[in-house]
Amino acid sequence: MEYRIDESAGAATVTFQGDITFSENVTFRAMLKELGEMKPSSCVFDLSNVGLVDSAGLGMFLIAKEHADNGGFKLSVTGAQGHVASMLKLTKLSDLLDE
Amino acid sequence: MSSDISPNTIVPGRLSGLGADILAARILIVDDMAIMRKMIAMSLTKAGFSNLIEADDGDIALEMIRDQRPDIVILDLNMPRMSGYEVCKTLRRDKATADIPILIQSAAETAEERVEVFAVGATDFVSKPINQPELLARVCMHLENRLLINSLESYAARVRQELDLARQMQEEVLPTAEEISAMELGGRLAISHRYEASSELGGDLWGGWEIDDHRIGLFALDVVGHGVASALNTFRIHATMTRLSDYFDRPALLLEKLNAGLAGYMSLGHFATILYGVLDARDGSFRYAGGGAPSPIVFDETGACFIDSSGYPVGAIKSATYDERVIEIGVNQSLLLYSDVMIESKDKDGAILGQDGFRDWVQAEAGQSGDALISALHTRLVERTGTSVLDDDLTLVHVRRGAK
Repeated sequence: MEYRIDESAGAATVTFQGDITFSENVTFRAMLKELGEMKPSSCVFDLSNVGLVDSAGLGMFLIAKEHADNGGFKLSVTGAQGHVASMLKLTKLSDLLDE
Repeated sequence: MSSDISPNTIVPGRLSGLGADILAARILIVDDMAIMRKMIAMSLTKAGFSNLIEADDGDIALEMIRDQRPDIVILDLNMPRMSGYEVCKTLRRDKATADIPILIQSAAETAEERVEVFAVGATDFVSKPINQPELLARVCMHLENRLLINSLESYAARVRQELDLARQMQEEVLPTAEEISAMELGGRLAISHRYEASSELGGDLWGGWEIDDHRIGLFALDVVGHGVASALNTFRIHATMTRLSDYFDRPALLLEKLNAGLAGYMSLGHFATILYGVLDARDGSFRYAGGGAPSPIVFDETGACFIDSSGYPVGAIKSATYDERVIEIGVNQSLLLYSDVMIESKDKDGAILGQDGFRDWVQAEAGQSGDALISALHTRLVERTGTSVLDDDLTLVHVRRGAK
């Protein structure tokens, strides 16, 4: 997994590339730290280029959601397709993450 | 390592003294010249070493190494009967002695000779005439390296053992043959299953129970992640669930209670995807609640379809509630529960199989017994991924409703 954070007027976009799985735990947490330091007013996870999210990946989204709630910014996801979209729907996390 | 400090250490480049375990090391000094052995022994004794043994030729050295394995060998190259090269080669060939550090001491100075010394398996080299502080520094360094490696190896072996034990304990929570036989309700249902723990510890579990003479409860769950934390969470969920026997015939309520029981105990980002259902062998109804487990497949030879298993995973969100759904499983139809390793499996190009791909597999293999079907699906998985070593747990549970 790779990611890029873009920010414009307090609105952050994190664009992910590759799989978001258990083994990406450390990278994902590093991303959250970086994101937290930017103190955005909102953040969108762009999942257009993500092929696979496993259950640990979904767990990381939950952690991100908690970060967002604590940090006072709105978190949403966009661009989920195929397997990623069905995982979000299957676990109802799409409801929590304002897809 | 011990923190005992030797007061009379004279090894250069050290801020602190040598540990007692280093000074207790047995050192074999091999040289055909008595004066050389004496000089090396003296310098080691001065530094605090006391467990010294000596050999005056290579063949004697090999014998001594066999009988009283040293922690390091200080070895001369040119000796009358057996050269240091030969000693090195012999030690390295034998698994029992392959890792003993060998410090060569020789007047050999050409580049080729030095290369040869390392080629036959020496650990290090000091030139003659011997510079005593250098000899000491090298001896200590190699002894410490060996001690560190030994302690890492024994630690790794212990961790491996504990993980194996944990894996075994996890497998013991799976239903026994007797329990499965009871769940078949006297031949009304036929259950086939396969569980394979991943190379790491995983968090899959399935099981069930007889509710009455025509109904069983059946669950499959997958705790997020791998490793010890995920295995411990599997035990926690299993323990919580078995306490909820009052709700075994009410799937949605069972998941709600299970989730409430776990909330606050599972750390953030940890949860389990789950499906629990009650199968009535008499009328074929399967009343179930989903918590994000992979959608089960209902099939026979004529078709295969998914059933909706969406819902919040347990342990993820406090006060989650669950929907109860009912489907009908016809006579001679089957229900298949499976873990995500199937649909997330990748081929050599990195493409994932996906739900639909897996359903096609099931459909293609439908016309056979449950056991044969499960083994065929496993074979397809191994063929697709090109390995039989899974990086996530595998669970396949197949229940066929008989005509009885």
